[in-house]
Amino acid sequence: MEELALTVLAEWPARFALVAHALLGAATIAVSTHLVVWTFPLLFGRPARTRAIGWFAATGALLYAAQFALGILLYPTYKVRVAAELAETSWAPRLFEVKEHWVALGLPLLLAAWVLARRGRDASRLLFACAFGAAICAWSGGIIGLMVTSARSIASP
Amino acid sequence: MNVLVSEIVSARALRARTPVETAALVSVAAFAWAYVAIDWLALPRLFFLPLEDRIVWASQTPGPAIGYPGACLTAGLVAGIAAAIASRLGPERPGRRLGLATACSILVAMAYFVWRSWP
Repeated sequence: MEELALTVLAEWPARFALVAHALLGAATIAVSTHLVVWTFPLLFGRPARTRAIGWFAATGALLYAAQFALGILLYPTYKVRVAAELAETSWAPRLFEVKEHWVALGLPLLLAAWVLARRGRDASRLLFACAFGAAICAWSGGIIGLMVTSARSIASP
Repeated sequence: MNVLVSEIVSARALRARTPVETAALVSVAAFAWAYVAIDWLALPRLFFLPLEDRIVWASQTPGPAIGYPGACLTAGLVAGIAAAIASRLGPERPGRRLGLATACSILVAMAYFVWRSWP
């Protein structure tokens, strides 16, 4: 059997990690979308539940960071088992690269939303903009992730 | 007691004057620009070599290498420094121009990575 580095997970641990990555991704998308919906009234100066917004912002940022960390944990396995094999023949690794960069840009947006949510109504429009940007990044990460996985997952061919 | 109360009040006032919004915007824009610059100019950063289980500091590496977390770390550091400077020197309320500039930074960074991955 071919010996790989410790960070390249075997097939079953990688499969479980991928499922956890998908579940955490769904939760991140759900919470970041809720944050957008709940901050929307602030744009028009309407009353909004600032305590709930703070909760969504904090939970969203923590979920996003956890999802980011799990993605980095899975990355060596994908890079060695999948991306290297598909590099010349498939669109999937290139699309995967777009996903990783877009998701990285979403993390500071959600962290900024968390900081701004602690300010209450003072930073309402900015809070909505940061939440909206982060949600776009989370959604694109989820959709591109599914597309890439549909091309070829971490299992051996 | 009165001295303590007045100190607490002044500390609260000081905290309220901190330009958090400006710092948040500047840090997001700085992260985006730094993240693009690291890739575009191939600046040195931490790379993880998955086949060797080794981390190296380089601008480019042969074979499969993961530079993504290293780029995030460096861009995060730049964003942190930018936020610290903006919170000391920036205006209390960011203008519309700063908001637009930050939004443009994110969009330019997103477009750059699409262009780079899909020539």
